[in-house]
Formats: sequence, structure tokens, C-alpha cells
Amino acid sequence: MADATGHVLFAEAMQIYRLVFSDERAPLTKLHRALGVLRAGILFRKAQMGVRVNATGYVRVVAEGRITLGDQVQFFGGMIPSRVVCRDGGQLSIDSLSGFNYGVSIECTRMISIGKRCMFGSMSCVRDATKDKTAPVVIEDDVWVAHGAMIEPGVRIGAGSVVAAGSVVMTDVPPRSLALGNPAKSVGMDLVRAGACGTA
Amino acid sequence: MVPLPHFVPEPLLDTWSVRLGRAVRTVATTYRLRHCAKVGRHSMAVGHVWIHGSGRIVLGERVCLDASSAPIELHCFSGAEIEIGDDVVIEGGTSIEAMRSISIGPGTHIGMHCKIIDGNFHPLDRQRGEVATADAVIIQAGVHLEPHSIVVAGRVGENALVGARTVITRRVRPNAQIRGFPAVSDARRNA
Repeated sequence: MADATGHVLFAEAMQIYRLVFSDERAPLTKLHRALGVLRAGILFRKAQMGVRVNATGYVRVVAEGRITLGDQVQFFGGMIPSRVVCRDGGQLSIDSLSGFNYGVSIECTRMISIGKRCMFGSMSCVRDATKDKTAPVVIEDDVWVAHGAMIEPGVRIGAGSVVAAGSVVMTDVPPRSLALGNPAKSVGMDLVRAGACGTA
Repeated sequence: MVPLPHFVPEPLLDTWSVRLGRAVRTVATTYRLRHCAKVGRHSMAVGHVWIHGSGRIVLGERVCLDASSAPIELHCFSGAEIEIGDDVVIEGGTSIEAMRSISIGPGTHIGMHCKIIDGNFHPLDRQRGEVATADAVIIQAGVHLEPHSIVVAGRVGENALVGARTVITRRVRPNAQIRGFPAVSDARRNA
């Protein structure tokens, strides 16, 4: 009798487990997502947030100024925590569906605006002030900033552009182009597809 | 850098504290590298080594993963392979991500915060969500990667020296000294 009860309880528990954790892509995904949303809520408690902002790892947040996050902005956890710093009087806005890999550093003293669906690779760096220059940084929609790239003050990156890994961007990047090098030079995406500039 | 076991002078190996330390380190290494398919003799991992993905990771003998100052990431997609040869030293903050195949030859030194990846990860154009195609990356014997260098694609020849913050996207000749982004060999720059 006790044995049968045990079996029933076990079956029940398995059913609950499947209900909570079942996801075809990866187990525990739903739980992780819920925890991530909770973590983001705590970390960005001083910021204005859209729905389902997610942080799957620790993010160091300094919200002295005004931080605005759109819907479903994602911060991924990993080797090194990301850093979002908005100093007093700064305006940092990140639009919906943008994603940030681990180790990203965003330092805002006046204005940084990041568009929709942007992707930031690991260890990339955006700042709008150096020792002798302060100017707003604008990153438009669908921009991909790859691993370890650095975006300097006063830069505007056009929609759909890609900043290659390890680049240091000091001048504006037109829309739909690839910025690569240190200092970065922009190449139209058509040339890249034709294989004219030898990337990858 | 943490000294490898075979670099330690013989008389020092006798004290019980050194032996105990070595035993603890061996046990810790076994635990930290438990997701690797194969780990050679005297390989050592210090600090947090983050191994994920379901691919095959093979470590040679006397490999030193020194993550004491920053974590090391080894990410191997399913079906991919990371092969690390004998006597390789990998310093902290380095991230190796394989979508297809990465092989690192014997005696290679990889400095802090390097990145080795065998593809662009996302397509430059079209749908960014999907994973792009990847080509095998081969780093041959005795290569020295200085800190913050990035290998995105290509083949690095024997005994090449890759300067700090270099980005490599294609073939590097054996014995070349190369630095900068776009990467230029020192011989050509000085010519």
C-alpha cells in the first residue's frame, strides 16, 4: 500500500516537474528566465523598465542618472559581470529586444541611446566621455557590436551596421556597413558580401 | 603564471605541505575538468574554468589553465571539437568557442583575455538569430598570443608571435611577428 502511494506521489511529482520545466530547447529554461526577470527587477530597481527585462547573471548597475530600458532587454551572465553606469545628469536609453553578452561596459555621463534589436558581444565597451571629450553616442536599430569592440564619444552608428571584433570606433558609421580596424574604417556591406575586403 | 609541476626543483617536492598542495590541486583539477572528454597527465586547472556545450574537448599533457585572476571559458557546440596540445599555457580571461573545430598545437602560450572563435557566430546580414557557418581554426606549435588578441578565423603558423590586441582573420605565416588591426607583420611594417 505504502509502495503504491509512493509510486503515485512520484508520478505526480514528475508531472509537476514536466509542467514547470518542460521546454524543448533546454531544461530549466523557464525557471532560469523567471529568475533572470526577478534578478533584473532587483538590479535595475532605480531604472525605468519595460516588461520582461532579463539578466541571467550579475550586472553592476550605477543609476545616478536616468536609465530607460525597453521591453525584453537581455543581459547574459558569463565569465565577467557586465557594467551599466549612468552618472548624475546622464540619460541612458536602451530600446526593446537588445541583448548584451557578458563583460559589456556602458558608461554614460550625458547621453547614450541604443536602438531596437541591437546585439552587443562580450567585453564590448560604450562610453560617451573620455578625459577631454564628452559627446552623445547614438546606436541605431539592428546594430551588432562584436566581441571586444570599443565605441568612443560622439559616434553615431547607422541602422543595420556591424562593428567587427576588437575595433575601436572613433568616427560615425553609415547605415548598413561594416566598421573594422583600430581606428575603425567603414566598408559597405555589399563589398563585404563580394569578399572584397577579406574579412573571415 | 603558476609553475608547472615538472618545473619545480627536486628538493622542494619532498616537503609534505607541497605534496598535500599538489594532491589538493590534482583533485580540484579532476573536478574542474570533468566535462572534458580526455585530460592528459599533469594537466592543471587553477581557479574557475567554465566549460559548457556538449562538444568534445581534449586536453594534452602538462596543460596549464591558469584562471586564478579571471575565469577561462571553453565553449564547445555539439558536434564541435576543441583540441589542446601538450604544454599549452592558457591564462585567465581567455575564451575559446568552437562551432566546428579549434586545435591548439603543443607549446602554445595564450595570454590574458584572448578570444579564439572559429566563425562570426552570427551572419553579418540576413537573420542575425541563426548561427553562421564556421571554418576550422588551427593554431600550430609554439605560437605566442599576447593579451587581448582575437583569432576569428584562419591558421596561425608555427612559432608565430601575435602582438597584444591583434585581430586575426586569415592565415599567419610560420615565425611571423604580427600585430595591429588590421593585422600587419612587423617585417612589412618596417620595410
